[in-house]
Order: sequence, then structure tokens, then C-alpha cells
Amino acid sequence: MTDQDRSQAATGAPDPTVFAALDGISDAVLVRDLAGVILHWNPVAVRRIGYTRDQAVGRLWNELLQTISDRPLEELEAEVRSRGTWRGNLMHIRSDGTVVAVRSRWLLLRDGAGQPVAVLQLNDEIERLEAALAERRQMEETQRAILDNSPMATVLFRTDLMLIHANLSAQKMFGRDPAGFGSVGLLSVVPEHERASAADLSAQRDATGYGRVEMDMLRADGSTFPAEVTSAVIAGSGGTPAIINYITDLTHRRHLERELRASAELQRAVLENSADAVMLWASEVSSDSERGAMLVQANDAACALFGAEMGQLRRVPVDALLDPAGAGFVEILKELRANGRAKGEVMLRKIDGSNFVGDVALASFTGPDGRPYTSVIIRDLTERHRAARALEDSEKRFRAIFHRAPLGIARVGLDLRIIESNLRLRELLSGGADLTGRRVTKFLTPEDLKIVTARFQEMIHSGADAAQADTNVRRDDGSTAWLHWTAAVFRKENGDLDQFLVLLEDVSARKAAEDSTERNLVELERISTLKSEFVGLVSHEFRTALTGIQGFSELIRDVELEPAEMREFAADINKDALRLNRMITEMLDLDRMEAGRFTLHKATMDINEAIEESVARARPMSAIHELVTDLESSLPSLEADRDRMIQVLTNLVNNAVKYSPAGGLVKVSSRSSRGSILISVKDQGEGIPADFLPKVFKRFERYEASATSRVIGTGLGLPIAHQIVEAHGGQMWVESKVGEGSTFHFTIPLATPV
Amino acid sequence: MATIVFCEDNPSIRKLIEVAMRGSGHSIFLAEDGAIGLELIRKRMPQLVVTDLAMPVLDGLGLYHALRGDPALSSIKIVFLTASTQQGMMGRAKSLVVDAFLTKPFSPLELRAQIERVLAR
Repeated sequence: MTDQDRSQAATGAPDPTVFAALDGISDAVLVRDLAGVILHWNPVAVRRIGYTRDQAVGRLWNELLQTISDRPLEELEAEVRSRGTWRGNLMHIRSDGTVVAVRSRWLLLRDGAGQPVAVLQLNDEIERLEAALAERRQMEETQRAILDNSPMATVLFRTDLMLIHANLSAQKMFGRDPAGFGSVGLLSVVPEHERASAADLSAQRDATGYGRVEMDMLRADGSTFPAEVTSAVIAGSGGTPAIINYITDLTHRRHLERELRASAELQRAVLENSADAVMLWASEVSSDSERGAMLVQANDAACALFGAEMGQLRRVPVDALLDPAGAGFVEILKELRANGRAKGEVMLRKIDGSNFVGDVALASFTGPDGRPYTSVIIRDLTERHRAARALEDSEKRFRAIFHRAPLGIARVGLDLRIIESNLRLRELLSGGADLTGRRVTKFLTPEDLKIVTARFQEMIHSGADAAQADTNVRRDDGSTAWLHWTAAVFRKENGDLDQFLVLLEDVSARKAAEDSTERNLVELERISTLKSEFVGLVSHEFRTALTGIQGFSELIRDVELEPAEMREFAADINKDALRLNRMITEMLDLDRMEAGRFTLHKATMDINEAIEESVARARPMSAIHELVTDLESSLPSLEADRDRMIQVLTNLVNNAVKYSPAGGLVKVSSRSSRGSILISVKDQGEGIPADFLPKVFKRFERYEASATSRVIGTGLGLPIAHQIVEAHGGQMWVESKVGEGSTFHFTIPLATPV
Repeated sequence: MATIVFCEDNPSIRKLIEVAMRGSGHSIFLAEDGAIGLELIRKRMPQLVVTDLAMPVLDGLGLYHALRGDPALSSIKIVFLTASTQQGMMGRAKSLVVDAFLTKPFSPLELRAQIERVLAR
């Protein structure tokens, strides 16, 4: 270095304030004049190379730093002098003798006249640089690891569409390894039909540095899936721009969207098909001011209810659908304003102006768009009102049935007091007077009281649901009647007994009929027994007659007899045969008479003459009886069957003899009496007990005083006589006293009654 | 030779009995009811009584009890001769111990043969 140089340098030295600025630089900086003398030494140079500023300033830089270069320093100097700058790597020796490699940049400093005055040397330590690079590499690796492990599929490529990186998520999403992405950007994973979408994405990105599309993407296996692709230009490493693509698989989201849509459609369908009318109004519904409320939606039921198409409904203001005279709507609106919801029955108006009653539920709410809405659900109550009326009618009908039923009906409380009774029951028990509050037991006889009370107690305590019985009741007027009653239990909703429903029927007539039937049955049994006895009796008589017939005929056949004796036996046979025949005739007669198949051969006759004949025939029968007649003379003639009259008289006279075994007087008398002739046959026999008197003219009846005092006969005589007299329009009766005898009377009218 | 009393209320049958027993060598007595028969029996002390069941005054059953109840008469043989079919009387008669039970109508010769058999026992 020359002095001139040094002075030049000294004179041309830069302003020290410039040096102060150099103190803040992170490189080690030295400034030297053109002769090589150090003018400035910054703190980084102090720290990094070791010499203090005082040790450095004023020294030749290459001597101080013992700089090593791969080229001669003169060449470097020449280069900075000519070009104004030099850049290259140098090695310096630190104050402690260690070597430091630096990347060095030299700048030629000029004065105001453009003359070079100094050289600024900036020395960046190469090891530090590499540490920074290593730090940067490490950061990039971390980023890559993050990138690789990110759940977001990320594909990075260069602007020339060469793939830089496809992370694991992307590899997995597309089923490709990084090589599978090729060198055509995203195109390898875009199916043919989405090329336009891919172009759109590029266009967006080119215009704004950012793009987003939804499109189908292609897997390695050829299948596609919906995806969202976000693409952006970023600064790559070393400042090279790169394109980053984030790909999101939308399969799941699409699925959710479909489900959401289906759910919404279902809700809509439910609404549309609801039996209730559903309407949605924009803004609040109110009766007065807000005529602007607009119908947004109405389901089919609503259209049907108001009798209008959706289009018509839309044009009609809200209050036109309300019957202004209809009660209750104002209150409902008040409630709606106060509580946000309200319901009640209101009168509504159809499009055609007719009214109907609806059960309305209103709710105000704020829609997703932030505007007020009112939902209205209307249930048509016309049917229900009609049903209520029908129920009322039905109730009336049942009430009428209750009151006019031909059965007695009562509702009876658990205390057995009558709660309600119908007309028929009042007729049955009280002559029509009200029965409410009266005790059922008041109408019962003491013996039936126990039975009826027991039946009701049974229902109260044992859970029996019904009871019935026939009960003899005492009416208010004191008369009695047989009532058949059926009681059924009415329970409350909780199962407890509430009351009884009792149906009562007057069965007095039936009871009487049953009693009479029972009596008839007893009578029939008695007659049947009598008939059996009669058959026994008849066969006894027949056998007795047959004994003579059989015995005498056998004798005639088997024994040598005198002719006279033979004739005598034949006469005996004949007599028995006649007797048999007579018995048979009697039986058949009676049957015919009782069946009404019986002919009288009437002719004019003298009854006194018939009496005399009958008595004369009977006289030989008994020696111990005195048979007399007491006849009224000059009786008028009768129109009668003479043979039958003789039959009646003979029977009565024979009976008189038969039933007075001790003998005595038998008197037959005749008298005229009130248009009839009265004939009486009186005996002094055993008499007939009073209880047998009504039976004497009945078939099969035959009085037997005792087993040891038997009178043989068929018992048909008196019934036949009785029938004959009645056939003549007359009457027959008997007066008798046991031990004193009997008198049989009969009358025959003088002129047959017309 | 035996003594026999017949009780029969029907005259025709009494006559038949009388003819049937004619020439039998036995002493024959006829009664028209049980009471008359009992009187005859006491008087004649027969070996055999033949009686109808259904008779006035005293019937066959009454007569039976009268005979069996009287030690003097209890050894007399008894034959019932009846046309009865009535359950009561027949039932009672059948329960009694008698020597024979004959029914009407009967054959006169058979009646005689039966009586001989009863007497021979």
C-alpha cells in the first residue's frame, strides 16, 4: 500500500455513520481502503473472527486474516475494481488460530464523484449457513411427515404438472402409489366425463390463485367417487411456485344429504297426506291488521276442507276463512299473541261461503329465514258434531225405550233405593206414582225379603254380576203379584259397584198357569191310577162272567147231563154272555158320550110310566129293600129318549139298592119344577162323604167305604146317567150325608132349549 | 170223605162249583160272602175252605186272617179262588201262606182235581 493510496483512502473514506449502519448486519463486515487497510470492523466480525475493532482497524486485512483463497487475491482485487463486486468463498484464520470458511461478498464503494474509495467485505460463515440449511431441511421433513400423515388427501405438484408429492391419505383414497399419479397433475385421477370440471378448477386457480370444484374422481380400480377438490398455488421450496390440491371424499356427505332429502320428503308427505288440514302462513295470523299474511303452504286436506285449490286459497286473505261472527276466534288470537300457540274450536268459512266448525291449533314461530310464520292445523269437527247430535238422538231413543218398555225397569242404588223407574214399573207397583227414593224392600213379603236381600248382598260382596228370581211382591194397593226380576251390576270405571239395573216382568199369569198345570198333572196322575184300577176292575168282572161261560160250557161238553140240566146251564151261559155284552156296551157308550158321538132317539114319553117300569124291574133284586114311588100326577109329556131314561132310572135305583146293604126304603119321586121335570131317587144307605160328592159323576170314580165292604161294578153307571141327562139339556146332582143315605136328583126340561 | 166250605158271592159261580163237586163224596157247603162262610166253618169244622177274594161284607183276605187267627180254625186248609187282577189285593193274597191259588175262569173238572190233591196232602 502506498501513502497516496492511504491518503486517498483517508480522504475518500466513507461517512462513519455508514459504518454504524453496518454494525446491525448479521454478517461479519469489514471495510478497507483500496490499499487494503481496515477502516471498519463490525461487532459480528469481532465475535466471529476474534480480533477487536482496535486490533483490526488500521491493519492490512489480508495480513490480519491470513486469508486463503483458491485464486490469487490480486485477481479478486482486480475483479472487484473492474466489476464493482465479487463473490466467492474464502478461508480466514481467527485470532485463536482456527480457520473459518466464509462466503464472502465484496462491494466496491465509490465517493460522490464515482471514484472508488473502499471495499466492503461481507463474510457469512459457511458452517452457519449449512446449519440453517439443515434446520430448513428438518423443517421440510417435519412438514412432509405432517403432510403424509394428514387425514386430508393432499397432492402437490409443480406448475409444469410434475408430481411433487401425494400423501398417504391421497394414495389410499385413490388406491395408487405416488408413481401412479404420473406427471399430468391431477388429470390421472380425473375421469373422462369430469375433464371440464378439472379445466374449471385450473381456470379458477390461474385467475385467483385458488379454486374449488365438486366432481367425480377416479380410483386406480376404475371406480369413481364424488369429491371436493380445493387447489391453490403456493410458494414451494426455494421460492418455486407449486400447486397444492386438497381432495375430500364426498361419498359420506352425499349419502347424508340424500338421507336428509328423503327425510324432508317424508315429512312433507306426512304433512301432505295428513287427515288434518295443515297450513303455513308467512307472518303472524291476526284478525285485523295483518291482512298481508300470506299462505305459503297448504296440504290436500286443507284444500279439501275449504273447498278450494291451492291457487285459490293463496288469493284469499286469512280473515276471509274465518267466520267473523264465530265466537272464540278473537280469544284464540289473543292467546296466540301471548303464548305463541293457541287452540280451540272456531267457526270457519269455506270458499263457497258455507260455515263449519273446526278444532284449530295455531303456533307462531320464526322460520329459518328469520321471518315470522304461523302454522295452522285444523280438524273438521262437523262429523264429530253430527256424531254428538246422533248420540243425543240415540240417548233420547233409549230414554223412550226405557220409559215405554213393556218391562218394568229400575235403576237401584247400593242402598236398594230406587234411583229411577219407568212407567211400567210404576204401573206394576204403585199405580203410576213416582217410585224415586223408595226402598225396594218395601214391596217384599217378609219371606221373600230375605231371599231378595241375599241375592243383592251376593252381587255386592261376591262379585256376581247378575241375579234373578221370581218374587211375590205386595203392591201399594195391597194386592200381590208375581214378578220375575233380573238384576245386573253397573260398575264404575275403577271396577267398584255403582248401581243395579233391574228388569221386572209380571209373571202372575204364568205362575197361575204353572200352578194350574201342576194341579192338572196331579189330577192326570190320579185319573191314570183310577184308570189302571178300572182296567183291573173291568177284567175282574169280565173273568167272573167268563167263569160261568167257560165252566158251564165245559160241563155240557164233558159231562153226561140230563136235557133239562143242560138247558139250565145254557141259560146260565147266556145270562153271563149278556152281562158281558152289557158291560162292553156301557163302556163304549160312555166313550161315545164323552166324545160327543152319541145320538138320542127322542120321542114323546111319559116319565112316570118309565119310573114305574124301572122300579118294577128292580124289585126282584132285593128282598130287604122297599122300593116305592111318589109321582106327581098329570105331568106333561117329555120329548126324550125313553130307553135312555129307563137306563138312567135303573142305574139310580140299582145304586140305591147296592149302596144300602142293610136294606131300607128306596123312594123314586117326580115333580114339575120351573119348566122342567125333577126326578129324585132317595135311599137310606151309607151315604157319601162330602169330599167324594164332586167326584160321583166322574168316570172311573167309585166310592168304596172300606176294603171289607165292597160293591162290585164298573163305576160307569153314574157317569153314563149324568151324560144322558146333560144330553137332554138337564142337570143331575146329589145330596148325601154319611149314615143317613143319599138322594140323586135330575131334571129334564119340558121343551128342549133352542 | 171231607167237609169243604166254599165262599163265593157270584151265584152263577156258586152253582158251577156245586155242579162240579157233585158226586165227589165230600160234604159241600156254599156261602155267598166271607161272614156267612165263617159262620158255616165254625159250625161244620171243614178240612178245607175254598174262598173268593173280592166279596161283600167280609172278603177272602179277612176270612183268611179270621181262620189263621183262631187256634180252633188255624189248621184248616185254605185255597184262594179269584178273578182279581188288582195289584193291591193280589199282592197281599200272594204273600199269605195258602194251600193253593186258583184263578178264574177255571175248569170245573180241574177245580175238583185240585181240591182232591190239596186234601190228599
